Formats: sequence, structure tokens, C-alpha cells
Amino acid sequence: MTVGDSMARKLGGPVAPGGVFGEDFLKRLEYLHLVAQKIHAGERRAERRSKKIGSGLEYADHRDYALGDDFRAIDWNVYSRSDRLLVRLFEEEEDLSVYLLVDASASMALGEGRKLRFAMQVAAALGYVALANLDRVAAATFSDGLGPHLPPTRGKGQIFKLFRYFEGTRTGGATRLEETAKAFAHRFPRRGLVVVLSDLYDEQGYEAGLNYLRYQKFDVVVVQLVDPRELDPTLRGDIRVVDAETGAVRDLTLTAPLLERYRRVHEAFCTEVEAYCRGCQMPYFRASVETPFDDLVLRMFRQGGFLR
Amino acid sequence: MIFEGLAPDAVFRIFGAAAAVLVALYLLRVRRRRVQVPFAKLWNRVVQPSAANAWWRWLKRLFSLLLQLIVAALIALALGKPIFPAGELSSPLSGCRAADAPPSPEMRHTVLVVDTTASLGATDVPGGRLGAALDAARRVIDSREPQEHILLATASGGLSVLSPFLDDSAALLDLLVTGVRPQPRGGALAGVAPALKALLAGRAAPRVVLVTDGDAPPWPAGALGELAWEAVVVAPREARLSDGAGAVQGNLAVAAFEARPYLDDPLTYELYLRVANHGPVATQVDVALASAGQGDTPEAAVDAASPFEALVLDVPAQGEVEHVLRHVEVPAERVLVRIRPREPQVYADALAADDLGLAVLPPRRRLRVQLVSPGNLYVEAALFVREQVSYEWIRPEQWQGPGSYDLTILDRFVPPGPLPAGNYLILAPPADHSPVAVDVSAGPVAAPELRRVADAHPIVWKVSFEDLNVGSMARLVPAPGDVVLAASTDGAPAMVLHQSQAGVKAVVWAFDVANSDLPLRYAFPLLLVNTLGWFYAEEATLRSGRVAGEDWALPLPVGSSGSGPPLDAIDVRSPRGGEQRAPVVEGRALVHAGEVGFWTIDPNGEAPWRVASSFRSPEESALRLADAQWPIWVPPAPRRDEMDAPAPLWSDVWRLALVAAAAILVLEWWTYQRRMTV
Repeated sequence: MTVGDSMARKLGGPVAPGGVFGEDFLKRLEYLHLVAQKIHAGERRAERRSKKIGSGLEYADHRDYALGDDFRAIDWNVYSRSDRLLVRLFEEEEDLSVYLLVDASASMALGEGRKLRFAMQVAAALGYVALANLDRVAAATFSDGLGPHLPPTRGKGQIFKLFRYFEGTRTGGATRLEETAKAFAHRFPRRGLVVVLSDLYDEQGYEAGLNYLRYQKFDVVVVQLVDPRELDPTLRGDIRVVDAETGAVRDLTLTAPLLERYRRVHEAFCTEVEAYCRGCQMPYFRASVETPFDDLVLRMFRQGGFLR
Repeated sequence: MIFEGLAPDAVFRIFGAAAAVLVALYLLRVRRRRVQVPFAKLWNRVVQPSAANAWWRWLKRLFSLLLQLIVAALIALALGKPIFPAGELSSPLSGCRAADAPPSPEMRHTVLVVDTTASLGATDVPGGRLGAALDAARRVIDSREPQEHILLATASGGLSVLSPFLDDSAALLDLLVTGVRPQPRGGALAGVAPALKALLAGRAAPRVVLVTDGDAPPWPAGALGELAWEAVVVAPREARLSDGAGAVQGNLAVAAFEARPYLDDPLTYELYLRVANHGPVATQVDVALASAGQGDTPEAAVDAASPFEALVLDVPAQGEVEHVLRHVEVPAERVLVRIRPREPQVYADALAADDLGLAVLPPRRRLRVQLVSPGNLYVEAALFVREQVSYEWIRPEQWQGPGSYDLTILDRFVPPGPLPAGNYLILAPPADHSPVAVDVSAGPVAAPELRRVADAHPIVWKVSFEDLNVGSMARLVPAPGDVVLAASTDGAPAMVLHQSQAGVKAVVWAFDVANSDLPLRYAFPLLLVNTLGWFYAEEATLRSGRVAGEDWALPLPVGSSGSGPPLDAIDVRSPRGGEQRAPVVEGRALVHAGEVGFWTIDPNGEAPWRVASSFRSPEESALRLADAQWPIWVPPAPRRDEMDAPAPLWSDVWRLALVAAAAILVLEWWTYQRRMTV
């Protein structure tokens, strides 16, 4: 019995022989889960901290006593030392919602859809770990707007539902992050962690969309996907480039120096994105689709931002 | 610069066409390849529109077009095969001018002419004259200088070109072996001089090298103009095999071989043979007569020949012997005669080409005679009894010309004006119109006593004029070339054979038969029969055998055109199957017959007839070395430092052009691959 079969038996779902979520993927998925568990060993399950101050048992902070506060919350030890009446604040435990937002625009489908495939694998891996941690996981695709979505679900057994959802992804359309963000926030009012997996080739700019999500109190993790083959086309000479999403055309003569300039421009673009994300304190990961997806996921685990 | 390949205008036309095609292809908008990219906005940051870039890109494409045009021009130039005559090209390696450069082989053009007249087939030199000629030609080709172009040709009456000007010795040697053969004809070298001058006109350093056996005299002074020429004589006197311990070298030849029909004998023929001995000693000759086998070539005729007669002739040194075989029953239409020395170990026949004679038996038919006379029962009676003769009698006032009659007998009548072409027997012509002049000043010859003069002539052969009484006869004055057949004892011509260039062939009797007792003699019908037979045989002989290599004027038989208009051309087939269309002028077909064998003449496609063609050339058969001064060809001294050196690359511009074209193609490919020009 293979690991995939074992997982399938445990989780009650079939294993596709190949495809995006094949045997090898499942093997790696189980490994990632083990690593994730190891990183956060000792923590109780379902102990994702939300930032909500509530009536939990864990001390969070102090504030001054205000008329009407519960006397039982007054920290008398502090009063005895400082003659100040301060009230103890407690963190309220609640389940973390993890939203996996996968870019399914036309640019993601170029080059045999390597970027989209990679994005789905990373999203599925992240979703599996989250489900294993009893977090709520929802998924949605987007292009020029929010696409079909998978409602929040919980439990490891739901992973195949996640697989099936991603396998049914249809690509096409232009990337419109801002419209997507607005629709997403409207659709999913419960705040949580949003992992945006995209190449960020938004004609109108990626900043507005990401900002909107931040403004809506979502914790945004940006995963920018890059396909190296887009940086080294085999053609030379007179060509007509056609934007896969907008259809805009541009005639140019592709030479080695021109290609070198393009690579530098692309690198600058990626650096801009990174700098922007850092400036907004959004965890940012740039990944080449030629690297194994589990390497990216592990990097995300280690650098933090996803597992807390 | 000289173009040895295509002419300059052809080169320009080819380049023009190629350039038009190339420009058209460049003018056609090249469809850009469409490439989908994920984010064109990034490319917009890379490529900024720039007027400077635009014209630079246009220039890059123009550069590619220019390279293609240069390649097309170089290839077109190479097709013209240009060469620089000596002195016009500097050496690119040394950088010096041609005048300052060390001596280099000069460009020169040589026509190598091999004399292929029949004497080349003689075997009186070691290895045969043909072998010696091929060896000599081979030496000339092997000593070819690096810049020398040689044209190979043969001469036998006319010039036959076997190759263009080549610098490929191997190709020339191949052509030498396959193309040089003795031809069954002679011919003076003077006839090819105009062709040689035309071939070498405008060529650098032209010259002629002649390979000959020396039997034909060289070109007379000035015949080749300014052309330099040299000769290789392959059969000089010292090389010819001489007598000694071996056989005497000589040559026997069939000088004539004809078949003549008899007027009154439909079953037999008269065969006339003349054998010549060009050797230094008399010899006996075996003569074999045979029916020729099937096939028109001499080889086929000889291979399947059926002998029917053999004889031996004694032929004196440097002399000829005539022999007539009378009343020979010939079993076939085509006959041949072969001669060979009776004792070949004593007398060696050096040339075999002239040992064969071919003849075709002339067809038999009735002789058509027109008698123009006031009335002459004697002549009519003599004609009437001849089965092979049909005659028509008309009065002089009814005369309209010889028409298609084989013979016209004019009795005491000659029409005014020159006689039309034809055969005539003229009896007692009036003085004022006789084709043979009549001297009236001295008056007629009274009571002449006649005797034969031309004893062997067929017309008077075996005719006796003894005791013949003739009342009187006119005084004929024969012209030069006329043959006196009979005369009076004091020399006054009585019977004259006259032939004119206007085609008149006439036997003229100076006396009136009615004024003699000739009609009462046996000689009278005999004379008439001989005369008729002679005219009959003469015409038949014209078609029985001809000489190869000559231009024939064959008289067409009466009725060849049938009921249609007169023929203006007829089909002729050579012994080796070559077809030609021979024009017909005044009833004679003009045929150029270069082959030995049996030719087929087909006037109307219904009744073809054959003509035998034999090699006959006393000059060639004599195998005599011409008394001439030959400028002897001397092979050039080999250049030690360049004996095996190939021709310099820059001497042949076409090679340079092709190399340059290939280099530019590589350059254009390299720039295209790196997208420098697209």
C-alpha cells in the first residue's frame, strides 16, 4: 500500500493516478504535515491565535479601570504595587480561517499552465496543513473577478474536496486584483489569513487589490509565481508579442540584448513587489515553478507567516 | 576579361532576373511570428519607439538584401566563366603588378587538329598511322601548360570539332580515343583554314597544332592568316616501314568498279574493274567478286558476302590494270569486289580502306528514243528490231526538245540555238547548228575512207569500217575534250563524241547514212546498238557506284514524282541509318555522301533504289609523303617548380567568384542566425 492509498483510506477519498494531485504530491503532502507538526510541537490543537480580545483564559494585556468593569478582572497585584486600578484583558480563542486565493487568469495558463499547476499544488499543500490543524479552509480562484469558490470547511477529510475543487479550475480572463479583493471581502466577511498565489500581472496594478484586503483586516500572504521559461523565449528576430490577457500587441525584434533588458525589467518588477509587500508588512514569497512546491511550502513554514 | 562560358549579356540577364526575385521577396512583408506573453506591459518598458532604431532596423534588413544580391551577382559571373588574359591580372598574393611579377604561365588557346583522311588507316609505320597519330595527340595534350585551353578537332575534307576549349586533359584524352577515326575520304587541309581562323578569333595566344601523316600538303602560305601553327608528322619518310627482310610496303587500291547492263541481254552484266598498285614493285592481286550480304554498311556487306567469281591480275608498280568481265551472271543486286596481294609475305598492302569496291546492278528498262528525221527507214528499221528500245519518229518541224527521252536521234537536223541538255546521236548535222563545229571553208570531204580511232571505245568497239563507201562527209572540227571515234585515213573526223558542260552528250556522225552503204553493212546496226548501249550504260553507271565523301548529283528516274508536281526534295538514308533530306535541282538529287556502303534513295516513298558508295582517292591511296616544309611542334620544357602545381586560383575568376559567393552565404547565414540582419 502506498502512502497515497494510505491517505486515501484514512481520509476516505480516491487518489487520482496522475494529474496535479498525484501519488507523489500526496507523499510530499504528508511529509509537509509532519514537518508542520514538528515545528509547532507542544502546542495544543486548534490554538491558532486570532487577534481578538475577548473572554478567554489567556492573559493578553492591561488597561485602566473604567466605571462598570467587572471587579474580578481588576489586577490587585498591580494595585498593591502601584496604587493603580488596572483591568486584565484576555485573548479569546477562535478558529483561524485560511483563504486560498489562486490566480486563474490567462497569464497563469501560459506555458502549459505550469504556474497554475504550481499554484494549485502550493494552495492544496497549505490547505492540507491548515485542515490538519483544524483550521477553516476556503478556496477561490480569480481572474477579472472572483471565480467559483469552495466554502470554508474543516477537517483533514475535506482535503479531497479541495483537490477536486482545484482540478475543476477554469482559466481565462485578465488579472483584476482590486475587483477580486472587493468581491472576496464581501463574500467572506470572517477575517482570516489570505494566501494570494499569483504572478501579479495586473494591468491596473496589484497594489490596490492587496491594500484592500489589508484594509479589510485580512492577513495577506503574497506568493508570487515566476516561470523562468517566460524570461528566455526561444524565438528570435521579428515577432509580435500578444498579451495573453488583454490581447494587446507589440511588434519588436527580439535579440539577445533586448532579452537581457527584459530580464532586468522583470527582475525589477519582482523587486518592486517584494519591496511593496515588505513595506506593508505582508509576508512575501517569490517562487519559480521549477522548484518543488514543497520547498516553497517549507520555506513558508520556516520564515513564518503561515504557521503561527 | 574574356567570358568563356555564358555571354556577358546572358550573365546580366540572369543576374537581373535573380535580383528581381530577391527584391520582390524582400518587399513582401515578412509575417511576424506571434508570441503570447503573460504581461506585455513589461515589454513596453523594454522597447521604446525610436526613430533612430527604425531606420537602423531598415538598414539591417537592407544589408541582408545587399548580401543576397552580391551572392546572386557572383554566381551569375561564375556562369560566364570569365578569365583574364595574360598580363591583365595582378597577383593578389604578392601584391605586385603583372609586369613586375615573376613569369607565370600565359593563357593560350590551341586547336589540336588530327588529320583523319583515309591514309591515317595505313599500317606502314610501326603501330599503324592511327596509333601514331593518337600517341602524338596524346603527347600534345599531356604537355598542356597550366593556362592552356585545347580544342580537339579532326580534318578530313572538312573540320569536325570534337570538344570546346578545355583545360581538362583527362576529358580531352577521352575524346581523343573515342572521336578520332580515319574517314573514307581525302581532302586538302586548305579547306579547314577558314574554320580554324574563326575558332581562334579573339582568343588569347592562339595557335594550331596539326597531327598528320604528311600525305596531304600543309596550308598554303597565308591560308591561316596570322595564326601560328605547328605540326607533328607521324609518318615521315624515315618512319615508314621499308623493305628489307620483311615484305615490301605498298598499297593496292580498287580504282574503279562498275556494273553495266547489256541492252540486248537481260541476264548478264558487264563488270568493269580497275586496280591500282601504289607500291614500288609489281605484284599479283587476288580479285574476289561476291554478292554483298544483307545490311548497308561495308562490314555487313563483307561479312555475309557470297563469292561468285575470282581472278588474278598482274599489276605493275605504280600502275593500273583495267579488267572487264563481260556477260557475268550476277546473282544479286548488290555486288562487291575485294582485292588483296596474292603473296602478302612479299607485298604488304598498307591501306585496307581502298581494297573494297561496291556496286549496285542498274535496273533494266526499255530505252526510249526519239527520232527526229525527215524520214529514214534505215534508222527506223535498226531501232524497230531492238526489243529493249522504244522509239517515236517525228519530223523536224515537230521538234520540241529532248523531253524525257533517253536518246534523241537528229537526222540531218539540228535545231537552231544551243542544244538543250540531253543525249543525242546526230547524223549529218547542218553546218550552221552542229554542236561540233563544221569547217565549210574547205568543203566536204569527198569519198573518205574510214577507220577506227578510239579502238577501245564501246561505241566503235568491234566495228569495222573496212571497205565502207561514203559519198562525202562534213569536215568536223572537234573541240578540246571531244573524242574522235572514227576518222578518215587522212585524219578528218568522221565520228566524234562531244560532251558539253551544258549537259549535252552527243555522238556526231559527219556523213549522211543514206549517202553511204553503211546501212547495208553489219556495222550499221552494230554502231547503233553500241551507241544506244553506251548511252544506256552511261546512265546506268551513274547510279551503280559513286565515290564516298563527294557531293552527288543523282539523276532521278523518269516518273519519280508520279503524277504530282516535280519533286523538290527526296529522302536519303545513309548506310549507317542516318536520314537526310536531299534537295532536287533540275531533276538531280544533291546528296552529301560521307559514308562507304549502300545508300537508299527514296524519291516518292514507293520505289526506293540503292547507290553504292566506295572509297576512291588516288591521293590517299598513293600514301606519298607530301613534299613540304612542316613547322615541327616541339613539346615545351617542363617547368620544374610548376610541373605539378595546380592552376593559380586567381587565374580563373569564376572560381574566385564561387568561393566569394560561398563565403558571403556563410556570413549571411551567421548574421541571420544572430538576428543581426532581420
